[in-house]
Amino acid sequence: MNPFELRNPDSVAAASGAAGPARVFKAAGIDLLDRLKERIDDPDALVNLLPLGAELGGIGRSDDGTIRLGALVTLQQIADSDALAAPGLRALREACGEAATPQVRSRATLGGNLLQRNRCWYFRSAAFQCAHDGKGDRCLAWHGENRYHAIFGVVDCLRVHPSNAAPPLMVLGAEVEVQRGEARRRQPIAALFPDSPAAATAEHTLGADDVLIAVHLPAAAARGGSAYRESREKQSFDWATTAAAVHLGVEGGRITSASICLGAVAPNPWPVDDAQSLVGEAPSRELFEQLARRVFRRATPTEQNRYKVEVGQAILVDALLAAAGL
Amino acid sequence: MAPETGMPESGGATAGGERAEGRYLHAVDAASLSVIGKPWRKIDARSRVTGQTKYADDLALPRMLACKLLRSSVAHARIKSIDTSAAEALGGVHAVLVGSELPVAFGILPVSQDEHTLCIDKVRFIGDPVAAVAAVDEDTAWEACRLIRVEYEPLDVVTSVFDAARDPHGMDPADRIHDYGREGNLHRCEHLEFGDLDAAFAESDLVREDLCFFEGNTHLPMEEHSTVAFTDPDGKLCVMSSTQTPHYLHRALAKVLAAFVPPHKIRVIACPNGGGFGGKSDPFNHEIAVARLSMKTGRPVKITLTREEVFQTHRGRHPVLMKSRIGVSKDGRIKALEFETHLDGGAYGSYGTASTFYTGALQCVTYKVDNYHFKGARWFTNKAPCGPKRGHGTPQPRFALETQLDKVAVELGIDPATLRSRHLAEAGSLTANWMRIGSMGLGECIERVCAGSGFRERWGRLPLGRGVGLACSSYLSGAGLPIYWNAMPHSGVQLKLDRSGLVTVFCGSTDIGQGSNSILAYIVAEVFGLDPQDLRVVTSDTDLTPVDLGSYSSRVTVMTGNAALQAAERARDLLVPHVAAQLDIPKGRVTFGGGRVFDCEDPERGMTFAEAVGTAEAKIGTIGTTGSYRPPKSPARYKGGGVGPSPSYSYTAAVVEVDVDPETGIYTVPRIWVAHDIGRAINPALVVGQVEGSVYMGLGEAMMEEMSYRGNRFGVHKIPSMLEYKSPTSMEMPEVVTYLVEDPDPNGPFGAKEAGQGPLLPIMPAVANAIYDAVGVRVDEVPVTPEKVFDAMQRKAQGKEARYGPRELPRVEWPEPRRVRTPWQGGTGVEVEREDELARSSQG
Amino acid sequence: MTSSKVLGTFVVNGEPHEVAYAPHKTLLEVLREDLGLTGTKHGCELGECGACTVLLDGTPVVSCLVLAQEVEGRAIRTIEGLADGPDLHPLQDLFAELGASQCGYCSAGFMLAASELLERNPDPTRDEIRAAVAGNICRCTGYIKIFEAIELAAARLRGEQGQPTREMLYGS
Repeated sequence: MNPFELRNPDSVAAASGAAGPARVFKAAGIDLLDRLKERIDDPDALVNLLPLGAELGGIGRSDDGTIRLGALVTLQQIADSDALAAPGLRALREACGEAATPQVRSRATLGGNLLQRNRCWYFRSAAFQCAHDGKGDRCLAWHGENRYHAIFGVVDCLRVHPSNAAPPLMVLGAEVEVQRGEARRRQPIAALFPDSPAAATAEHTLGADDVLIAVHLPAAAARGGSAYRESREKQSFDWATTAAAVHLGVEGGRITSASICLGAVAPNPWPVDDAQSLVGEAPSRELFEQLARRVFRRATPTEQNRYKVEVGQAILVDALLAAAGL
Repeated sequence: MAPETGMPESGGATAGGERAEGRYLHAVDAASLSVIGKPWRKIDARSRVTGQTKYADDLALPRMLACKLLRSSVAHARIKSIDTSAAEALGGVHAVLVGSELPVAFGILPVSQDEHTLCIDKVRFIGDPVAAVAAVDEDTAWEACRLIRVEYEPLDVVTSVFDAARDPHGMDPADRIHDYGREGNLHRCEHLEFGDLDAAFAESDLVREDLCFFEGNTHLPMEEHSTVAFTDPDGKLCVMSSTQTPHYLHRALAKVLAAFVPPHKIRVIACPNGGGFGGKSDPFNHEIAVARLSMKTGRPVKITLTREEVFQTHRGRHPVLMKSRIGVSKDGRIKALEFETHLDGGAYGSYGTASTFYTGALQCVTYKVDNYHFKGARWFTNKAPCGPKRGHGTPQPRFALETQLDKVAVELGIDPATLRSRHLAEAGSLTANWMRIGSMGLGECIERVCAGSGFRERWGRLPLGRGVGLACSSYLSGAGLPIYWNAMPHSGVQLKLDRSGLVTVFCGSTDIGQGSNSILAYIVAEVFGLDPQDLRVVTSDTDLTPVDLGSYSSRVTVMTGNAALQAAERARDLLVPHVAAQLDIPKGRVTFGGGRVFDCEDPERGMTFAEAVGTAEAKIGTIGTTGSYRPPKSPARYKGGGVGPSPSYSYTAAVVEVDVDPETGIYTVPRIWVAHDIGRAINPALVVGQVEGSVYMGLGEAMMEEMSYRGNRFGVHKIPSMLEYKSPTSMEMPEVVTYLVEDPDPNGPFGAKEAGQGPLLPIMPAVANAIYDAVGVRVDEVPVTPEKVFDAMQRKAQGKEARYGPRELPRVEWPEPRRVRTPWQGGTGVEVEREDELARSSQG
Repeated sequence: MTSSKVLGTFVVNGEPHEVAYAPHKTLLEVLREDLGLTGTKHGCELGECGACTVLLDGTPVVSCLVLAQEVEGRAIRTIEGLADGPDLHPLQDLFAELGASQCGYCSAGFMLAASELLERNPDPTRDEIRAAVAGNICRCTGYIKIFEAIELAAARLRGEQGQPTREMLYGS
């Protein structure tokens, strides 16, 4: 790593104010230190958010049933949290419990998981200059190694969104709370991701001085059933090749609400609008398989990632069955 | 023909003495052994579990500088200019080294001295080092590397054997990766024929031809290579390195640095290796670079490779494309076997010449093969150089042969276990290609894994998605020939005994985690009746220890073990007469055990071991002995017959069980049964550990590991990290049931054979065979990824060939074969055309 | 380039150490380079192998991804602090007895991760052990001897015999 200064602000406002060119926010630093060591990034200073645990930490449940997850909550804390034990929230616990390794989960934060950079090996390699890292003029994965790349929602860059936590938060209707200077705002989590995730577009919509404070889950999220399933090439130390988060309401043998978001298949977490077609139906394997086929028929695989279309369907069906309790 | 037994060298530099009976002790009853065959802790276990073992990167010396290499960012180019001035001007930089300062080439094999410490005229793969910097710390050295300006003139990039084979005559000679080799980018091209193939195929009841591909993979040792070099206080160069082969490193340093330092002033110490698996067996450019930088700066210099650089250093499993044509009789006897291999060698020779022969060497040592034909080609490509990885050159053809036998079994309607056990090669026999087999326990191995797994009852009868697969293998217990031709021993051991009762064992071998230091202690302790933990073992230091060729080719237990046994027996023979005189008993009654030396007829009469040594020391002076070992002469005397012979062959059988999702092809391996013919286990716990570790590494190769550049015309490694290079974690590891089969071999110390490599070999084909049993498709390619299984299942569903695998080979103009008559044709082990000539010369 | 050093106190294995170190160093680097505690290894420096695992306030972390500045004053446990004086920790004894440490390079990380597991779960199942060491890669052993060593160490920590079975030492 090149030398850098570590700044420890004493408040969120001070952290926001400390932002600037060649300065980046650091939570646990899992992904950031990787990038510094690989010399992909070379900031002058890291603005350390970890000392702000009092404001940015903790999992809290209000009387109205809403849940606040501080941005510095670790993935392991989420995976272990009793406050998230309801079947409707299970997808989030499962997703965080499956990420990376025990040593990483014990430190990696929710905020860092949502805002980490993508894993495209061209982007991650100092040997390549691509349109997304700003040093090249095109996406190299199109005519290169694209086994792990996007099959949905591609503009001109084949990266996939790497976050485990994002798909479940999408189906749970989460909101994120952001602070800039002294001002706080809340927005749907979907607004965290760019409308058109082009090569030249950042992976999230936060400004350089925006500090992610917390993620809020509505009370309704706890009701119903949910599940998260992912495919990987090995069962630890690996990123998902496809992932599916599902939230289902089932009453009287009929599906009353349905929300699906896929992960690792598109530059953004990929919500499935077709989920609405499940409402009113009786949950069954056949129903779910039909839906999965319909969803993945619209995939646009490249040369080496057709297999994601097959595995993605199976993963989605698994997640739907688990969420429906079948 | 009478078997030739491996003979220890006669005489010893320090002392000779009477020869003891039962030198090899292979027939010794296990019950009479007090140390051998017991699950002792390793002698260095305490050091390893307390974090006190000093690996090379753990060394820190006062004034030590850090070295970084500037590596090529292009795969193939001529170097037009190198400008190091800005780097040299940077504060904290002490020296910059470029290739022209060390013009002498090196390489592990005498036939391929094709590497330079730093590239001089051209670079041949991404990662080829161009300059080296020594600076106050790593960050400064890295920054200095960034300031070095290299101007490249790009050349055509070759990334596959098909690329390499394109138009060898028409290509511009300047575009060749090397200016040696057969032609174009064809490095080696070998053609051997044993017996009459055409007639044998004509007589066969079933002939089939299969193509398959084994993707390259890498060792991935946990420890990144590291080297510290310094000039010692007496002005001599010392290099401490994570190397498996200090002796060969010493030779390379002596050669490249000949202008600066004579060989006897170079000391190489191999530090304990944090895993090797073959990946630390070559002398490396970084080792020579820091040696020279330490001389230039007058300060210690250390280099530790990054994980990415370890991937670039590589020397791992060759990608091999293969064709196997087999002719069998109705009962499965192999009448004819014709094998063609194409090795993608990467950018340098490394061990590649040997690797090429190894892809054809061991086909005949498991089952009887009546007639055998081998064609092997190695191609240069602009990728990280391949070399020896656990199983060196033999896992790829083993995969081809064992999956093909599975297909033969299905076609003949014979279960795969019976097909194999019916036609085993015989103990003590010669193969078609003149390999001499010693003890041979494969039959029992097959029966053990079949009994444990219920293979015969379950194969072909499990529900869709579940399957069992069987495969077998064999591996060398050490190569019969050294890397460079010489008539000296392959292993030497010295013993020092003194009145304190301490026995010190000196040997040039290197412990890479397999426990070779402990093996020395167990063997010597057995002879003296001591506790192995009480010995001192000094190894892998070219100044202090006698030469051992290194920790490769599974040679260490057999070769250093025999040398240690000889040295210990000589020392025992020095003590015995003086103890006998002291106790006033015949020499034959002097017995060693429990730390004492006593009268076997009256065990109360005796003395401590220390007293025994003191008694002898008083009579004959300082006590020291040597032992050494050279493998038996091989009957394979044809050109190319130097690769494959071994003092003994180990055998393994494995059954793998799989659960396959018929929708996606995703599969898991819940259980593996493996039986290994170890000859005799010097320490069964260590053998079980080697077997389990081999199974693990084989499973990684079978399921996921690949050193892949696919779809990448730039020659950039796709996955130079531990994360992206998929290797099995604790979550993938199946239950493994291990059986040790003990069939003592006459050439092994106490009958021991190898354990570290052979058990890896059957796992890949057993997985592929189990997949077939589960879902009825053949994946003729390693790794057997779920995607390939899915692809084959789709093809099957569409009514196409239920197979995933290669369909063509590169075209080669093969030279005329070297024809050698088989032993049963009355051959002599040499080429037909040389038989007369040799007969004449032997008469003359 | 080389930046000026900062002074900090690290509490390693119960002992405070005052260290002057470059402020961008990782905990791994301070342990190995500034404190000479080389029992903590590195296999990738990117959090991808687990060899550098230490306990931070009792929790396993990869020390290559922890900035030293952030852990001043916090309780750090390394392999050098696992034994009780001259007496090996049961994990160390069992790793030695079974040969769960072959090259030994990954062993410290495994034993520290396992020691944390046994603190919170004295009688773990095989699957719980697998999960607890899923952040540590071993290339030598195939993990089996490691699982067995952790199981037997757990037994000994519970006051039971924890003796290896014949199969563990001799095969089936």
